[in-house]
Amino acid sequence: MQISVVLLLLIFSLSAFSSEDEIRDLMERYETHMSGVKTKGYDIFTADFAKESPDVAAPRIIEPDEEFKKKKEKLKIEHKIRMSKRNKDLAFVRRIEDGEQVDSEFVIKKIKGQWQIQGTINDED
Amino acid sequence: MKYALWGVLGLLLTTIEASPKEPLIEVLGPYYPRNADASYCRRKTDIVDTIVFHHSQTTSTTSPEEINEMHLERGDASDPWLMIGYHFTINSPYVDSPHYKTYVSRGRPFHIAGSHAGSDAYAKVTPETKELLKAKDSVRCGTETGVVSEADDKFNPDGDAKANYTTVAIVFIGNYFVRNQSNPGGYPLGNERFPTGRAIDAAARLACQLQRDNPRIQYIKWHSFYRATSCPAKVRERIKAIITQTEKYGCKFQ
Repeated sequence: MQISVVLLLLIFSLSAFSSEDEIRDLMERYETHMSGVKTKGYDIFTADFAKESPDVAAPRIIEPDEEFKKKKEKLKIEHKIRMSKRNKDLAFVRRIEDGEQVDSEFVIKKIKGQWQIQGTINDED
Repeated sequence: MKYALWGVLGLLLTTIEASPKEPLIEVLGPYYPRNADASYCRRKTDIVDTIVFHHSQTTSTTSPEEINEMHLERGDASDPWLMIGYHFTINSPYVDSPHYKTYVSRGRPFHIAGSHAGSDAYAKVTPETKELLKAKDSVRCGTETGVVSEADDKFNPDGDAKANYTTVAIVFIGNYFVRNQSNPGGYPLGNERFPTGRAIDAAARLACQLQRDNPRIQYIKWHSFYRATSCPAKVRERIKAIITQTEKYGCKFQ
């Protein structure tokens, strides 16, 4: 009994870790995409988001790799991930630029097994 | 026969005069699940004297139910949010959007203090509001099944009132802030985005209806009035238009 509980917990935490890794990867791809670098896939955003901001979700066609590298070195970007407690397919990411927290959060949804950016939300207690 | 006709006419006129005014706007009432363990504050509604406008910074097609789902995630394990933090939502699709439909929905009940201005946001209020807020039991906080007691944070040391207690929150659902890496759904630089005329009218009708129902509501403000925040972004530039529009419906705001 105890062993199965431990195993379940282990499986649960492993899946949580993998979700966080996937979201971290998504946010990395997002940063690259938004910096004007050609990105491989264009599944960063949800269809809802793409419908409202098609120009943002559209593929990038320029590849200023050197510029991007320089830009990335200048700004230290961190992503603080918060998994939903109620919905396993929902997560929130706060973007931190050079230690400064932005007052909105990214809303990330898992759609057909893939994490995608739905947009942002700005609210307060 | 002649007297009977006059009698019917008189009765009709009395009925028309006595009947309440038609509501200025249709307000939808979605079903919102709540956090059963959350603590929240019930308030006497006469302490409310100000409407505060926000923008959600979400996509404009986000539903109030989805905002509720996200707000159920707010707070920490020991102090989660009860439900959607705003009292009303206005779905405000952008100009030329294929989903061109503005609708207003009820959010958190009016007699429950909102979660919107910031728990540390305090502001000066009129002497009358101050007295009403000072009164015993004007705001009582607790959980559904736990201990309920008088709020101990109605005023800050400077005597300013807690904004969440004396205000009602209306949010424009949409993203009215400039696009940047932290806000990909915002408007492109140089192409500012404002709520449509229909959304402004809906906001004015709603504000006026709130004043009709609660005559102490006389002020209209915006989130960044209370604290340093980008919210409500470009909606801020339409506050004057909303106030002017309320006059069309016989209301007066400052």
